Amino acid sequence: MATRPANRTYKRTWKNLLINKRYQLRFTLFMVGLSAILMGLLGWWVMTVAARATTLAVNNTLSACQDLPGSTPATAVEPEPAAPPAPAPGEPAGGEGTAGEGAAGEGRPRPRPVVTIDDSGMKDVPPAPDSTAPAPVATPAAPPEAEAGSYERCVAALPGKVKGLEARERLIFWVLVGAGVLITLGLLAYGIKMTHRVAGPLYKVTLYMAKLRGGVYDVVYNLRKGDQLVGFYEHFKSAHAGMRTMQEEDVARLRQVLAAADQGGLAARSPAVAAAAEELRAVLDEKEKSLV
Amino acid sequence: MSSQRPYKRKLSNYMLDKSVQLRYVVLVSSTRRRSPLSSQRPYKRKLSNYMLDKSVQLRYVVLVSALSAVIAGALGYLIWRQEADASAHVMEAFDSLAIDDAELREEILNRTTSGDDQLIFTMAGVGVGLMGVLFLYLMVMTHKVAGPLYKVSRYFDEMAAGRLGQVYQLRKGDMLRDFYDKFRDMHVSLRERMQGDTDAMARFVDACAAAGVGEGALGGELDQLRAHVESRRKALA
Repeated sequence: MATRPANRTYKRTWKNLLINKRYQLRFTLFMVGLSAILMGLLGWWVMTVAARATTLAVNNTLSACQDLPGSTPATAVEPEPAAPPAPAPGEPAGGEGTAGEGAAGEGRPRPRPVVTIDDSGMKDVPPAPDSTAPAPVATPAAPPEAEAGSYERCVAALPGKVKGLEARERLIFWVLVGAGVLITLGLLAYGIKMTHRVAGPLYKVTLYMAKLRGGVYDVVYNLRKGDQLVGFYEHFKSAHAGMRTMQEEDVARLRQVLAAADQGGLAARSPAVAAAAEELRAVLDEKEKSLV
Repeated sequence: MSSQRPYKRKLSNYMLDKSVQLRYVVLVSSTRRRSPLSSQRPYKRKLSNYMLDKSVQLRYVVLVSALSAVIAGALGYLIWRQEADASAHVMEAFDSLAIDDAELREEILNRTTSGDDQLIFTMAGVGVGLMGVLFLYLMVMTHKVAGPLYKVSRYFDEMAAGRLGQVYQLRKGDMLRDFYDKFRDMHVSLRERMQGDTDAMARFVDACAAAGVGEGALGGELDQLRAHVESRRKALA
Protein backbone atom coordinates (compact mmCIF):
# COMPACT_ATOMS: atom_id res chain seq x y z
CA MET A 1 0.00 0.00 0.00
CA ALA A 2 1.39 3.40 -0.97
CA THR A 3 2.15 5.75 1.87
CA ARG A 4 0.13 8.96 1.94
CA PRO A 5 1.40 12.33 3.08
CA ALA A 6 0.32 13.32 6.58
CA ASN A 7 -0.74 16.79 5.49
CA ARG A 8 -2.98 15.46 2.74
CA THR A 9 -5.63 18.07 1.83
CA TYR A 10 -9.03 17.30 0.44
CA LYS A 11 -10.54 20.12 -1.55
CA ARG A 12 -14.20 20.98 -1.74
CA THR A 13 -15.91 20.53 -5.09
CA TRP A 14 -19.42 21.57 -6.08
CA LYS A 15 -20.49 18.05 -6.98
CA ASN A 16 -19.70 16.88 -3.45
CA LEU A 17 -21.63 19.61 -1.68
CA LEU A 18 -24.69 17.48 -0.96
CA ILE A 19 -23.08 14.74 1.11
CA ASN A 20 -25.88 14.19 3.59
CA LYS A 21 -29.01 15.08 1.67
CA ARG A 22 -31.50 14.52 4.45
CA TYR A 23 -29.72 16.70 6.98
CA GLN A 24 -28.50 19.36 4.57
CA LEU A 25 -31.76 19.80 2.68
CA ARG A 26 -33.80 19.83 5.86
CA PHE A 27 -31.89 22.74 7.34
CA THR A 28 -31.41 24.58 4.07
CA LEU A 29 -34.99 24.24 2.92
CA PHE A 30 -36.27 25.33 6.32
CA MET A 31 -34.22 28.50 6.02
CA VAL A 32 -35.23 29.09 2.40
CA GLY A 33 -38.88 28.25 3.04
CA LEU A 34 -39.09 30.55 6.04
CA SER A 35 -37.56 33.40 4.07
CA ALA A 36 -39.89 32.73 1.15
CA ILE A 37 -42.94 32.75 3.43
CA LEU A 38 -41.80 35.97 5.10
CA MET A 39 -41.04 37.58 1.76
CA GLY A 40 -44.35 36.41 0.32
CA LEU A 41 -46.56 37.55 3.20
CA LEU A 42 -44.83 40.83 3.83
CA GLY A 43 -44.43 41.43 0.11
CA TRP A 44 -48.17 40.97 -0.32
CA TRP A 45 -48.72 43.45 2.51
CA VAL A 46 -46.30 45.91 0.91
CA MET A 47 -48.12 45.63 -2.41
CA THR A 48 -51.52 46.12 -0.78
CA VAL A 49 -50.36 49.28 0.96
CA ALA A 50 -48.50 50.44 -2.14
CA ALA A 51 -51.66 50.00 -4.23
CA ARG A 52 -53.60 52.08 -1.72
CA ALA A 53 -50.94 54.77 -1.68
CA THR A 54 -50.86 54.78 -5.49
CA THR A 55 -54.65 55.09 -5.70
CA LEU A 56 -54.55 58.01 -3.28
CA ALA A 57 -51.71 59.63 -5.20
CA VAL A 58 -53.56 59.22 -8.52
CA ASN A 59 -56.74 60.71 -7.06
CA ASN A 60 -54.71 63.51 -5.57
CA THR A 61 -53.11 64.24 -8.91
CA LEU A 62 -56.48 64.26 -10.66
CA SER A 63 -58.05 66.57 -8.11
CA ALA A 64 -55.05 68.88 -8.30
CA CYS A 65 -55.96 69.61 -11.94
CA GLN A 66 -59.61 70.12 -11.05
CA ASP A 67 -58.60 72.82 -8.60
CA LEU A 68 -56.89 74.81 -11.30
CA PRO A 69 -58.75 77.71 -12.90
CA GLY A 70 -60.23 76.74 -16.21
CA SER A 71 -61.46 73.33 -15.19
CA THR A 72 -64.99 72.53 -16.34
CA PRO A 73 -67.80 72.15 -13.80
CA ALA A 74 -68.53 68.70 -15.13
CA THR A 75 -65.30 67.49 -13.60
CA ALA A 76 -65.99 68.95 -10.20
CA VAL A 77 -66.60 66.47 -7.44
CA GLU A 78 -69.80 67.14 -5.59
CA PRO A 79 -70.67 65.76 -2.18
CA GLU A 80 -72.64 62.59 -2.31
CA PRO A 81 -76.29 63.42 -1.64
CA ALA A 82 -77.25 59.83 -1.00
CA ALA A 83 -77.95 58.58 2.50
CA PRO A 84 -74.86 57.46 4.38
CA PRO A 85 -74.29 53.72 4.51
CA ALA A 86 -75.70 51.82 7.45
CA PRO A 87 -73.18 51.69 10.26
CA ALA A 88 -71.56 48.43 11.10
CA PRO A 89 -72.63 46.77 14.36
CA GLY A 90 -70.96 48.60 17.19
CA GLU A 91 -69.95 51.49 15.03
CA PRO A 92 -71.44 54.89 15.87
CA ALA A 93 -73.86 56.33 13.39
CA GLY A 94 -72.35 58.58 10.82
CA GLY A 95 -69.22 56.58 11.20
CA GLU A 96 -67.22 55.76 8.10
CA GLY A 97 -65.38 58.31 6.23
CA THR A 98 -62.00 59.76 5.77
CA ALA A 99 -59.26 59.30 8.25
CA GLY A 100 -59.87 61.59 11.15
CA GLU A 101 -63.50 60.88 11.55
CA GLY A 102 -64.94 58.60 14.14
CA ALA A 103 -62.51 59.09 16.97
CA ALA A 104 -63.70 62.57 17.76
CA GLY A 105 -67.33 61.84 17.10
CA GLU A 106 -67.88 59.91 20.27
CA GLY A 107 -71.09 60.88 22.02
CA ARG A 108 -72.12 63.80 19.85
CA PRO A 109 -72.98 63.89 16.19
CA ARG A 110 -70.16 65.65 14.53
CA PRO A 111 -71.18 68.13 11.83
CA ARG A 112 -69.95 66.70 8.58
CA PRO A 113 -68.05 69.27 6.59
CA VAL A 114 -69.50 69.88 3.19
CA VAL A 115 -66.96 70.77 0.60
CA THR A 116 -68.26 72.62 -2.37
CA ILE A 117 -65.94 73.07 -5.23
CA ASP A 118 -67.06 76.23 -6.91
CA ASP A 119 -66.06 77.51 -10.25
CA SER A 120 -63.13 79.78 -9.91
CA GLY A 121 -64.35 81.81 -12.86
CA MET A 122 -67.16 83.10 -10.68
CA LYS A 123 -64.76 85.44 -8.97
CA ASP A 124 -64.56 87.51 -12.10
CA VAL A 125 -68.31 88.11 -12.41
CA PRO A 126 -69.11 91.58 -11.07
CA PRO A 127 -71.91 91.83 -8.50
CA ALA A 128 -75.38 92.55 -9.87
CA PRO A 129 -76.19 96.25 -9.48
CA ASP A 130 -79.85 95.68 -8.85
CA SER A 131 -80.77 93.11 -6.27
CA THR A 132 -84.40 93.14 -7.25
CA ALA A 133 -83.68 92.29 -10.81
CA PRO A 134 -83.93 88.65 -11.70
CA ALA A 135 -80.69 86.88 -11.21
CA PRO A 136 -78.84 86.35 -14.42
CA VAL A 137 -78.10 82.83 -15.45
CA ALA A 138 -74.66 82.04 -14.15
CA THR A 139 -72.48 81.52 -17.12
CA PRO A 140 -68.90 80.83 -16.33
CA ALA A 141 -66.71 83.52 -17.58
CA ALA A 142 -64.02 82.48 -19.97
CA PRO A 143 -60.80 82.00 -18.03
CA PRO A 144 -57.82 84.05 -18.88
CA GLU A 145 -55.62 82.39 -21.41
CA ALA A 146 -52.74 81.82 -18.98
CA GLU A 147 -54.99 80.08 -16.44
CA ALA A 148 -56.68 77.98 -19.08
CA GLY A 149 -53.24 77.06 -20.31
CA SER A 150 -52.13 75.89 -16.90
CA TYR A 151 -55.22 73.72 -16.62
CA GLU A 152 -54.62 72.24 -20.07
CA ARG A 153 -50.98 71.63 -19.26
CA CYS A 154 -52.03 69.92 -16.06
CA VAL A 155 -54.56 67.75 -17.92
CA ALA A 156 -52.01 66.95 -20.59
CA ALA A 157 -49.50 65.93 -17.94
CA LEU A 158 -52.04 63.78 -16.11
CA PRO A 159 -51.54 60.52 -18.04
CA GLY A 160 -47.79 60.82 -17.60
CA LYS A 161 -48.09 61.42 -13.88
CA VAL A 162 -50.54 58.57 -13.44
CA LYS A 163 -48.30 56.32 -15.50
CA GLY A 164 -45.35 57.36 -13.36
CA LEU A 165 -47.23 56.47 -10.17
CA GLU A 166 -48.33 53.13 -11.60
CA ALA A 167 -44.80 52.47 -12.81
CA ARG A 168 -43.55 53.14 -9.29
CA GLU A 169 -45.96 50.56 -7.95
CA ARG A 170 -44.87 48.07 -10.60
CA LEU A 171 -41.23 48.82 -9.75
CA ILE A 172 -41.90 48.01 -6.10
CA PHE A 173 -43.46 44.72 -7.18
CA TRP A 174 -40.57 43.73 -9.44
CA VAL A 175 -37.97 44.81 -6.89
CA LEU A 176 -39.70 42.61 -4.34
CA VAL A 177 -39.88 39.68 -6.75
CA GLY A 178 -36.26 40.12 -7.80
CA ALA A 179 -35.03 40.46 -4.22
CA GLY A 180 -37.10 37.41 -3.24
CA VAL A 181 -35.66 35.27 -6.01
CA LEU A 182 -32.12 36.46 -5.29
CA ILE A 183 -32.48 35.85 -1.55
CA THR A 184 -33.96 32.40 -2.17
CA LEU A 185 -31.20 31.34 -4.55
CA GLY A 186 -28.49 32.89 -2.39
CA LEU A 187 -29.83 31.20 0.72
CA LEU A 188 -30.08 27.88 -1.07
CA ALA A 189 -26.44 28.04 -2.11
CA TYR A 190 -25.26 29.39 1.23
CA GLY A 191 -27.36 26.90 3.20
CA ILE A 192 -25.97 23.94 1.31
CA LYS A 193 -22.44 25.23 1.68
CA MET A 194 -22.92 25.96 5.37
CA THR A 195 -24.45 22.57 6.14
CA HIS A 196 -21.74 20.93 4.06
CA ARG A 197 -19.25 22.15 6.64
CA VAL A 198 -21.09 20.05 9.21
CA ALA A 199 -21.91 17.14 6.91
CA GLY A 200 -18.31 16.97 5.66
CA PRO A 201 -16.71 16.04 9.01
CA LEU A 202 -19.55 13.61 9.68
CA TYR A 203 -18.91 11.97 6.33
CA LYS A 204 -15.21 11.75 7.06
CA VAL A 205 -15.87 10.19 10.46
CA THR A 206 -18.26 7.75 8.77
CA LEU A 207 -15.49 6.62 6.42
CA TYR A 208 -13.08 6.08 9.31
CA MET A 209 -15.76 4.23 11.25
CA ALA A 210 -16.29 1.92 8.26
CA LYS A 211 -12.56 1.16 8.29
CA LEU A 212 -12.61 0.49 12.03
CA ARG A 213 -15.55 -1.81 11.51
CA GLY A 214 -13.51 -3.69 8.94
CA GLY A 215 -10.63 -3.95 11.38
CA VAL A 216 -8.39 -1.29 9.86
CA TYR A 217 -6.86 1.20 12.29
CA ASP A 218 -5.92 3.79 9.70
CA VAL A 219 -4.12 7.10 10.21
CA VAL A 220 -6.65 9.88 10.97
CA TYR A 221 -6.06 13.10 9.09
CA ASN A 222 -7.15 16.59 10.06
CA LEU A 223 -10.31 18.30 8.90
CA ARG A 224 -10.31 20.75 6.03
CA LYS A 225 -10.03 24.45 6.66
CA GLY A 226 -13.42 25.97 7.43
CA ASP A 227 -14.99 22.71 8.55
CA GLN A 228 -17.18 22.75 11.62
CA LEU A 229 -17.57 20.11 14.35
CA VAL A 230 -13.90 20.50 15.18
CA GLY A 231 -14.54 19.55 18.80
CA PHE A 232 -16.52 16.50 17.80
CA TYR A 233 -13.75 15.44 15.44
CA GLU A 234 -11.22 15.75 18.24
CA HIS A 235 -13.35 13.37 20.31
CA PHE A 236 -13.32 10.95 17.41
CA LYS A 237 -9.56 11.24 16.98
CA SER A 238 -8.97 10.49 20.64
CA ALA A 239 -11.34 7.50 20.44
CA HIS A 240 -9.52 6.22 17.37
CA ALA A 241 -6.18 6.70 19.13
CA GLY A 242 -7.53 4.88 22.18
CA MET A 243 -8.64 1.91 20.11
CA ARG A 244 -5.34 1.86 18.27
CA THR A 245 -3.45 1.96 21.55
CA MET A 246 -5.45 -1.00 22.82
CA GLN A 247 -4.66 -2.87 19.64
CA GLU A 248 -0.94 -2.08 20.02
CA GLU A 249 -1.02 -3.19 23.67
CA ASP A 250 -2.62 -6.48 22.59
CA VAL A 251 0.03 -6.98 19.94
CA ALA A 252 2.86 -6.30 22.38
CA ARG A 253 1.39 -8.61 25.01
CA LEU A 254 0.75 -11.43 22.53
CA ARG A 255 4.22 -11.15 21.02
CA GLN A 256 5.82 -11.46 24.44
CA VAL A 257 3.64 -14.37 25.50
CA LEU A 258 4.08 -16.25 22.25
CA ALA A 259 7.83 -15.63 22.27
CA ALA A 260 8.01 -17.00 25.82
CA ALA A 261 5.83 -19.96 24.82
CA ASP A 262 8.10 -20.73 21.88
CA GLN A 263 11.17 -20.52 24.08
CA GLY A 264 9.63 -22.80 26.70
CA GLY A 265 8.49 -25.36 24.10
CA LEU A 266 4.96 -24.99 25.31
CA ALA A 267 3.32 -26.50 22.23
CA ALA A 268 5.00 -29.84 22.93
CA ARG A 269 3.49 -30.11 26.41
CA SER A 270 -0.15 -30.39 25.50
CA PRO A 271 -2.21 -30.45 22.28
CA ALA A 272 -4.75 -28.09 23.92
CA VAL A 273 -2.03 -25.56 24.68
CA ALA A 274 -0.66 -25.94 21.16
CA ALA A 275 -4.12 -25.28 19.66
CA ALA A 276 -4.64 -22.27 21.93
CA ALA A 277 -1.20 -20.95 20.97
CA GLU A 278 -2.04 -21.30 17.27
CA GLU A 279 -5.29 -19.45 17.79
CA LEU A 280 -3.40 -16.71 19.61
CA ARG A 281 -0.90 -16.51 16.76
CA ALA A 282 -3.77 -16.00 14.29
CA VAL A 283 -5.17 -13.23 16.50
CA LEU A 284 -1.74 -11.62 16.60
CA ASP A 285 -1.40 -11.77 12.80
CA GLU A 286 -4.78 -10.15 12.36
CA LYS A 287 -3.98 -7.40 14.85
CA GLU A 288 -0.63 -6.68 13.23
CA LYS A 289 -2.28 -6.37 9.84
CA SER A 290 -4.94 -4.03 11.21
CA LEU A 291 -2.33 -1.49 12.33
CA VAL A 292 -1.73 0.25 9.02
CA MET B 1 -57.49 8.93 72.13
CA SER B 2 -60.44 7.28 70.46
CA SER B 3 -59.64 4.47 68.06
CA GLN B 4 -62.60 5.50 65.92
CA ARG B 5 -61.31 8.93 65.16
CA PRO B 6 -60.06 9.05 61.60
CA TYR B 7 -56.64 10.55 61.26
CA LYS B 8 -56.47 12.72 58.21
CA ARG B 9 -53.36 13.48 56.24
CA LYS B 10 -52.38 17.12 56.30
CA LEU B 11 -49.78 18.86 54.21
CA SER B 12 -48.09 20.24 57.29
CA ASN B 13 -47.56 16.72 58.62
CA TYR B 14 -45.89 15.30 55.57
CA MET B 15 -42.35 15.98 56.83
CA LEU B 16 -42.41 13.93 60.00
CA ASP B 17 -38.76 12.95 60.15
CA LYS B 18 -36.81 15.51 58.27
CA SER B 19 -33.40 13.88 58.51
CA VAL B 20 -34.56 10.53 57.13
CA GLN B 21 -36.95 11.88 54.55
CA LEU B 22 -34.67 14.60 53.21
CA ARG B 23 -31.72 12.21 53.01
CA TYR B 24 -33.79 9.78 50.94
CA VAL B 25 -35.13 12.51 48.67
CA VAL B 26 -31.65 13.90 48.02
CA LEU B 27 -30.24 10.41 47.46
CA VAL B 28 -32.94 9.47 44.95
CA SER B 29 -32.67 12.81 43.18
CA SER B 30 -28.93 12.50 42.81
CA THR B 31 -28.98 8.89 41.63
CA ARG B 32 -31.63 9.67 39.05
CA ARG B 33 -29.38 12.20 37.35
CA ARG B 34 -27.70 9.76 35.03
CA SER B 35 -25.53 10.06 32.05
CA PRO B 36 -27.10 10.16 28.60
CA LEU B 37 -25.33 6.86 27.99
CA SER B 38 -27.31 5.20 30.75
CA SER B 39 -29.70 2.46 29.67
CA GLN B 40 -31.92 2.46 32.72
CA ARG B 41 -34.25 5.23 31.76
CA PRO B 42 -34.91 7.23 28.66
CA TYR B 43 -32.89 10.42 28.68
CA LYS B 44 -35.37 13.27 28.39
CA ARG B 45 -34.82 16.65 26.85
CA LYS B 46 -34.45 19.46 29.36
CA LEU B 47 -34.47 23.19 28.70
CA SER B 48 -31.12 23.58 30.41
CA ASN B 49 -29.54 21.05 28.07
CA TYR B 50 -30.76 22.54 24.84
CA MET B 51 -27.52 24.32 24.03
CA LEU B 52 -25.21 21.33 23.67
CA ASP B 53 -22.95 22.52 20.87
CA LYS B 54 -22.88 26.28 20.98
CA SER B 55 -20.80 26.85 17.87
CA VAL B 56 -23.01 24.73 15.62
CA GLN B 57 -26.35 25.57 17.16
CA LEU B 58 -25.87 29.29 17.69
CA ARG B 59 -24.41 29.73 14.24
CA TYR B 60 -27.53 28.39 12.57
CA VAL B 61 -30.00 29.89 15.04
CA VAL B 62 -28.45 33.33 14.85
CA LEU B 63 -28.14 33.19 11.08
CA VAL B 64 -31.77 32.24 10.48
CA SER B 65 -33.08 34.62 13.14
CA ALA B 66 -30.99 37.50 11.82
CA LEU B 67 -32.01 36.76 8.25
CA SER B 68 -35.68 36.71 9.20
CA ALA B 69 -35.22 39.93 11.16
CA VAL B 70 -33.57 41.62 8.19
CA ILE B 71 -36.28 40.49 5.75
CA ALA B 72 -39.08 41.39 8.15
CA GLY B 73 -37.38 44.69 9.01
CA ALA B 74 -36.77 45.71 5.40
CA LEU B 75 -40.26 44.81 4.24
CA GLY B 76 -41.78 46.28 7.39
CA TYR B 77 -39.96 49.51 6.63
CA LEU B 78 -41.37 49.42 3.08
CA ILE B 79 -44.87 48.90 4.45
CA TRP B 80 -44.44 51.77 6.84
CA ARG B 81 -43.09 54.00 4.06
CA GLN B 82 -46.07 53.22 1.85
CA GLU B 83 -48.47 53.87 4.71
CA ALA B 84 -46.72 57.14 5.45
CA ASP B 85 -46.95 58.05 1.77
CA ALA B 86 -50.67 57.26 1.81
CA SER B 87 -51.11 59.41 4.91
CA ALA B 88 -49.17 62.22 3.26
CA HIS B 89 -51.41 61.98 0.19
CA VAL B 90 -54.49 62.18 2.41
CA MET B 91 -53.17 65.34 4.03
CA GLU B 92 -52.16 66.74 0.67
CA ALA B 93 -55.64 66.08 -0.69
CA PHE B 94 -57.18 67.73 2.35
CA ASP B 95 -54.93 70.77 2.00
CA SER B 96 -55.76 71.07 -1.68
CA LEU B 97 -59.43 71.47 -0.74
CA ALA B 98 -58.50 74.64 1.17
CA ILE B 99 -60.90 73.88 3.99
CA ASP B 100 -60.43 76.37 6.76
CA ASP B 101 -60.92 73.98 9.64
CA ALA B 102 -57.77 73.64 11.70
CA GLU B 103 -59.48 71.33 14.16
CA LEU B 104 -60.48 68.92 11.45
CA ARG B 105 -57.02 69.05 9.91
CA GLU B 106 -55.44 68.35 13.27
CA GLU B 107 -57.78 65.47 13.82
CA ILE B 108 -57.03 63.93 10.44
CA LEU B 109 -53.32 64.41 11.02
CA ASN B 110 -53.51 62.81 14.46
CA ARG B 111 -55.55 59.97 13.10
CA THR B 112 -53.16 59.20 10.26
CA THR B 113 -50.10 59.63 12.47
CA SER B 114 -51.49 57.40 15.20
CA GLY B 115 -52.48 54.87 12.54
CA ASP B 116 -48.92 54.84 11.24
CA ASP B 117 -47.50 54.58 14.75
CA GLN B 118 -49.87 51.76 15.59
CA LEU B 119 -48.76 49.97 12.45
CA ILE B 120 -45.13 50.26 13.56
CA PHE B 121 -45.95 48.91 17.01
CA THR B 122 -48.02 46.07 15.57
CA MET B 123 -45.29 45.11 13.15
CA ALA B 124 -42.60 45.38 15.83
CA GLY B 125 -44.68 43.24 18.19
CA VAL B 126 -45.35 40.61 15.56
CA GLY B 127 -41.68 40.70 14.54
CA VAL B 128 -40.42 40.23 18.09
CA GLY B 129 -42.95 37.44 18.67
CA LEU B 130 -41.91 35.77 15.45
CA MET B 131 -38.25 36.03 16.42
CA GLY B 132 -38.97 34.52 19.83
CA VAL B 133 -40.92 31.59 18.43
CA LEU B 134 -38.38 31.09 15.68
CA PHE B 135 -35.48 31.17 18.13
CA LEU B 136 -37.09 28.54 20.35
CA TYR B 137 -38.03 26.35 17.40
CA LEU B 138 -34.53 26.56 15.96
CA MET B 139 -33.04 25.69 19.33
CA VAL B 140 -35.16 22.55 19.42
CA MET B 141 -34.37 21.76 15.81
CA THR B 142 -30.61 22.16 16.18
CA HIS B 143 -30.73 20.30 19.48
CA LYS B 144 -31.97 17.28 17.57
CA VAL B 145 -28.69 17.32 15.68
CA ALA B 146 -26.46 18.40 18.54
CA GLY B 147 -27.97 15.75 20.85
CA PRO B 148 -26.80 12.70 18.87
CA LEU B 149 -23.41 14.33 18.30
CA TYR B 150 -23.09 14.93 22.02
CA LYS B 151 -24.04 11.35 22.77
CA VAL B 152 -21.57 9.98 20.22
CA SER B 153 -18.90 12.29 21.67
CA ARG B 154 -19.49 10.74 25.06
CA TYR B 155 -19.10 7.27 23.58
CA PHE B 156 -15.92 8.43 21.85
CA ASP B 157 -14.60 9.58 25.24
CA GLU B 158 -15.36 6.14 26.62
CA MET B 159 -13.52 4.53 23.72
CA ALA B 160 -10.57 6.85 24.21
CA ALA B 161 -10.38 5.63 27.80
CA GLY B 162 -10.35 2.04 26.52
CA ARG B 163 -13.94 1.15 27.34
CA LEU B 164 -16.32 -0.47 24.90
CA GLY B 165 -19.58 -0.75 26.81
CA GLN B 166 -23.08 -1.03 25.42
CA VAL B 167 -24.45 1.50 22.94
CA TYR B 168 -28.07 2.54 23.32
CA GLN B 169 -30.71 4.00 21.05
CA LEU B 170 -31.19 7.64 20.26
CA ARG B 171 -34.14 9.52 21.67
CA LYS B 172 -37.34 9.85 19.72
CA GLY B 173 -37.16 12.75 17.30
CA ASP B 174 -33.37 12.86 17.13
CA MET B 175 -31.79 13.44 13.75
CA LEU B 176 -28.58 12.00 12.20
CA ARG B 177 -29.94 8.49 12.60
CA ASP B 178 -27.95 7.18 9.63
CA PHE B 179 -24.76 8.44 11.17
CA TYR B 180 -25.65 7.04 14.55
CA ASP B 181 -26.48 3.64 13.06
CA LYS B 182 -23.07 3.53 11.40
CA PHE B 183 -21.41 4.47 14.66
CA ARG B 184 -23.34 1.79 16.45
CA ASP B 185 -22.39 -0.84 13.88
CA MET B 186 -18.74 0.13 14.24
CA HIS B 187 -18.95 0.04 18.03
CA VAL B 188 -20.66 -3.35 18.04
CA SER B 189 -18.08 -4.70 15.61
CA LEU B 190 -15.14 -3.45 17.73
CA ARG B 191 -16.76 -4.85 20.82
CA GLU B 192 -17.35 -8.27 19.29
CA ARG B 193 -13.80 -8.40 17.97
CA MET B 194 -12.38 -7.46 21.34
CA GLN B 195 -14.61 -10.01 22.99
CA GLY B 196 -13.36 -12.72 20.61
CA ASP B 197 -9.71 -11.76 21.09
CA THR B 198 -10.11 -11.67 24.86
CA ASP B 199 -11.76 -15.09 24.80
CA ALA B 200 -8.86 -16.48 22.73
CA MET B 201 -6.34 -15.09 25.26
CA ALA B 202 -8.38 -16.51 28.12
CA ARG B 203 -8.49 -19.95 26.45
CA PHE B 204 -4.70 -19.89 26.13
CA VAL B 205 -4.28 -18.95 29.79
CA ASP B 206 -6.73 -21.67 30.84
CA ALA B 207 -5.02 -24.27 28.63
CA CYS B 208 -1.64 -23.38 30.17
CA ALA B 209 -3.12 -23.58 33.66
CA ALA B 210 -4.64 -26.97 32.83
CA ALA B 211 -1.27 -28.17 31.51
CA GLY B 212 0.43 -27.02 34.70
CA VAL B 213 2.51 -24.33 33.07
CA GLY B 214 3.38 -21.54 35.45
CA GLU B 215 7.03 -21.51 36.28
CA GLY B 216 9.86 -19.26 35.18
CA ALA B 217 9.65 -16.47 32.62
CA LEU B 218 6.66 -18.07 30.94
CA GLY B 219 4.80 -18.05 34.23
CA GLY B 220 5.37 -14.30 34.56
CA GLU B 221 4.16 -13.70 31.03
CA LEU B 222 1.07 -15.79 31.70
CA ASP B 223 0.31 -13.78 34.83
CA GLN B 224 0.57 -10.58 32.85
CA LEU B 225 -1.65 -12.03 30.12
CA ARG B 226 -4.19 -13.02 32.77
CA ALA B 227 -4.22 -9.46 34.12
CA HIS B 228 -4.54 -8.20 30.55
CA VAL B 229 -7.57 -10.43 29.97
CA GLU B 230 -9.15 -9.12 33.16
CA SER B 231 -8.63 -5.51 32.11
CA ARG B 232 -10.18 -6.23 28.70
CA ARG B 233 -13.19 -7.85 30.34
CA LYS B 234 -13.64 -4.77 32.49
CA ALA B 235 -13.45 -2.63 29.38
CA LEU B 236 -16.24 -4.66 27.84
CA ALA B 237 -18.48 -4.51 30.91
